[in-house]
Parts: sequence; C-alpha cells; structure tokens
Amino acid sequence: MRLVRAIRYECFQMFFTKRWWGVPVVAVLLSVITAQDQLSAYEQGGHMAHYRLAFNAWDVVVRSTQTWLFLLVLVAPLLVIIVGESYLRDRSSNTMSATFPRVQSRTIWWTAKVLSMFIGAFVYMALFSLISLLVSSFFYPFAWHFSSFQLHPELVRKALVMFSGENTILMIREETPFLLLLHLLPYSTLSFGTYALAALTLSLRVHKPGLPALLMFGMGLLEFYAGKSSLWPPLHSWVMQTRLSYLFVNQTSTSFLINGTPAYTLSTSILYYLGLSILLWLTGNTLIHHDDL
Amino acid sequence: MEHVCELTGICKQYRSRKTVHEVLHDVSMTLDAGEVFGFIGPNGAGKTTLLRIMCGLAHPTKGKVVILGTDLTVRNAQLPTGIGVLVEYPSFIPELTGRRNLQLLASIRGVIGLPEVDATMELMGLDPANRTPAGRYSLGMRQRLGLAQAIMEKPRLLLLDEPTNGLDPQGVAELRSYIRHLADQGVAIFLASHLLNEVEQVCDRVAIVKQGHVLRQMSKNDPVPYRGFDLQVSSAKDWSLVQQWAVQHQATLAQKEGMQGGMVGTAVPVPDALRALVQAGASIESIIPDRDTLETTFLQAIQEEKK
Repeated sequence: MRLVRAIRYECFQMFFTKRWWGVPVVAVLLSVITAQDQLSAYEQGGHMAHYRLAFNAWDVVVRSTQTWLFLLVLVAPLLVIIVGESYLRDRSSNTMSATFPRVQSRTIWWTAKVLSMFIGAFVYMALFSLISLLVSSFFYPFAWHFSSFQLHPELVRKALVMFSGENTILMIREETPFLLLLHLLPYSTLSFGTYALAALTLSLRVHKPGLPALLMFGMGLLEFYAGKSSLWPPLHSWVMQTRLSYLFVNQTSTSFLINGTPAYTLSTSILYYLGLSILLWLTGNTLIHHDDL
Repeated sequence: MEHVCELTGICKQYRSRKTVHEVLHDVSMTLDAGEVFGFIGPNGAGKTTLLRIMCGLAHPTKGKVVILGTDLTVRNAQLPTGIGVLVEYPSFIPELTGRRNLQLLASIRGVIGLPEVDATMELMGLDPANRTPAGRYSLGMRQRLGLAQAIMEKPRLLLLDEPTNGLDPQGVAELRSYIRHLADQGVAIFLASHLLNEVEQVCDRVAIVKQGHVLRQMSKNDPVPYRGFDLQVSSAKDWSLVQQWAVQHQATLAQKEGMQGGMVGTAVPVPDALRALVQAGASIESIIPDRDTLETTFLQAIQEEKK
C-alpha cells in the first residue's frame, strides 16, 4: 500500500505543473498541422476522388504520431525534462526530506519514481490521442472506423503512384481504431517510459539538468547516422530496434507498414522495452542504496 | 533505557577526483525521549548533513546510526516510523494549497486524515480553508507549513533544521513553547540552528560544532561557575564613595564620563554589595548575574579551536 501511495504522490507532483499540461497541447497542434499538410498534398490532383478514397479524423491521428521531427526535436525533450529530471527537482527543492521518512524504504521510493514515469507516459499518450482526435474532427469527419484511404491500400497505391517512391505513404494493419489505440498506448507508454527512466537513472549519478534532453538528442543523431550509413550490421539493427528517439512513433513496432513492408513487431519491441526497463530499475536500485539521496 | 537516537563515531566524507572533504568527524551523541538537543554551529558546520544522516537520506562514511531501535547503517535498513523532519527552506507542490499538500503527504503513511491535518494547520497558525497555492506562500507561512508536515503525524523523533527561519517574533515564541510542550509529551527533538539565543532557551543539551568537529557538549544541568554579578547604579550622592568601595572590594567600575552612574562588576555576595552601595548613596537600577551564556561558551569554544 505504501508503494501505491508513494506512486500517487509522485504522479501528483508530476501532473500538477503547468508545463506538463502544456506539452501535449503544443505537441498535438504541431503534429496535426504537419499531418494535415501531408493529407492535403495527397488530395491535390483529384486522384483520390477518382478512386473514391476519402480521409476521416483517424487519418490525422495516425499521422500526428508520425511527425517525428517535432516530437524528436521539440516536444519529447521537453517532456523528458519534466519527468526525467524528477529526482534532480526533488534534490534541489528539499522535497525528499518530507516524502522519504514517510516512504521509509529506498527500494519503494525508487520503484514509485520508476512506475510514475510509465504512468506519466500513459497519461501523456492518452491525452495526446484524445486531443488529436478532437482537433482532427474539425477538419475531417469523425467515424468509429478507419477511412477508405486506410482500408484500401491497393487503391491508394494506384491513386498516389507519384508518392510511392518516397516511402511516405503510411498504411496501418490494425482493422479498427480501437485496435490501433490498444497497440499504440501500451507501446508508447513503454517506449517513452523507458526513455524517461533512462534519463532518471542517469540523473542519480550525473546531477546536471538538461542531461535527459541531451541524451535524447544524442540518440536521435545516432539513429540518423545509423539509418544513413552502413554501420556494422548488429549495431545498426540494435539502433533501429530501440528507436528510442522516436518515442511515440510506432511505425516500427506496431503492425504499421511502410509501402506494405512490415518492420519490427509489437511483441518483440515490448519484450525489448520490458527487459530494458527492468535493467534500468535494477541499476537505479543499486545506485540509490549506495549513494546519498 | 534505549535511546531514541544514538550516533556513534559518525564521519562523513565527500570525495571528488582529487580531494576528500570531511563534513563530519567522529560525532557521537544520544537523544532520549522528552529531550531537546541543540546542535549549533556556524554555516557549513555539518548540521544539515548530520540531520540528513539521521533521517536516512545520507549514509555516514563511518560510524553507527541507531534511530528508534533501527540501525540505519545496516544494508537495506528501512527507516522506522515516527520520524518528523523539517529541513531548511521546505518545499511543496506549488500549485496545490497548503492543506492539499499536507493531505497528500499524510496519505503516504495513511495514519492520519483530514481532521488531524486541519488541527495541525490551526496549531501552526495556518488557515485550512485558505485556497492560496503553496507556491505563493510567504517564507514564514511556508516555514509554518513545513513545521505542520513535520509534526502532524505525532512523531517520536522530531528533526528540525533552522526551524525559526522566516518566522516573526510571535511565531518564534510560539514555536519555542510548542517545542517544550512536545518534549514534555515525550518527543525527542533534535534542533540544528545557528541562533544561539533560541537554542539556549529551549534545549536541554547542546553540542557546539565547527567544521564537522564537536567542540563541546553541555547540559543545562551542568553546574554554572559563579563569577559575581554586574550592578547598574545611578544618582550617587557622593560618587567618590562608590569608587572607594569598588577599590576596597576589587570591583570594577565602568562609568560614563560626566555621569553620576555606571556599572559595578563584583564577586562580593549580593546582600553585602547592595547594603554598601545604598549606604554610599547609590540607586540600584539592575542586577545581572555574571555567568557564561551559550554565546560566551560558543565564542570561547570557537576561539580555543582557533588556537
């Protein structure tokens, strides 16, 4: 019970900041604008209408999670700073002297911090998806099913033949929006939570604010480099598998297809993130038992 | 009898790449139920570090820390229940009210509810119905809120670091009497401060610390050497009689120029001195015993350390 109560306190501490609520709103607006630009490009020339293909609000939601540039460069680092620096904030604000004697155990204290990272990630993604859906409904009709554009990939390839070489026509394998969210939310929770946990674990030893964002930027560069070069294959494979820098971008880990080619599967990615999270929890637990808080 | 807190040979070092900085050196002390222990020293003396060790936030490099029967130096030791802590400049979730902050903190242990939270806030002079977020509290209000969180669960050991920070004179007086009240109820209180007057008025025992070294430990029950007293006298009919008496009794006489009055310092028994001075035509304005205060002891200890 003490663990549950400690998690509750950590979550309150995280959610009751203006920055926390500002980030999903900024993320959604930037992502929706970008996704809508892409959809508008597809609509030009009248090929879509010729094949009786149309968009609905879910097309924007799907694409808003793929605008990796904004997520990688702007929003995700900001969010990771908010959650990943939670320990540094506790240190600088003397909060721990009030919480730790109540939690009583270093392991429980650390576990509460770790789990709050994942709860934070889940709430963020749920909010992101909800706001994205609400905003998208102003531009495209809302429906409980996917659009004809998502449901008929063979027609899309014919209609948008000029885009096929650019590897940008994103199709998803999930049959319903419910299944999409069912995959998207746990995956994103795990990937973003693991990333924040990596930053949190690092901050136990390196007491430098801004480090999580730097870490994230470094991962982005590494991935960019790995994607463009012929690195040693296992390393390349590892970098592409982790895809930490993508955070919420699920194209490699849910059953998303890019031009019909599946990438990594959801289950292998979830196993990877679970393993990594447990490793980070163990590392952090060892550190907090050895170091001063 | 088991001590509430027992520290034995506590050393704390911080290592950087090239240097080892010793913050605490061989600190030993005990604290019993109902006792107020003052830990005084200048800034950087190691007071906060010792307090952090006592509440389990920091590990000592060497030594043994036993709090409420639990040895905190044992690997994976859990902090016992019944510890209340107030650090310097306490912090809260700034967007929430003081009441909500205390309620959330109390919910971690789950032993008290809102009625107790409200009662503690009122005791500390805070209004539970105040909707102002804690982030907009003044320094004094934040300190009162910090004290409220430290005492709301009725701890057996209370660790206070500079508790009078930001409090107004009335708040300081109230806190002083409340600390005594808690001690009378059996709470052991560790008070780290650099305000000697506060510590002197409220503590049963005091340790003077400088740069991590305990220079002196003393109790209010220790015998105080009597060195005499100072008399403030005025309006002497014949000032030369007072001067003559002072010379005869090896008393010191400090007189302001051109004034028929001054301070007489003497070790002569009080009744004899009063009689002689009245006969000499002096009016006695005040009598101040000349004994060591905590301030003089503190300064003396610091001076000795310098030598």
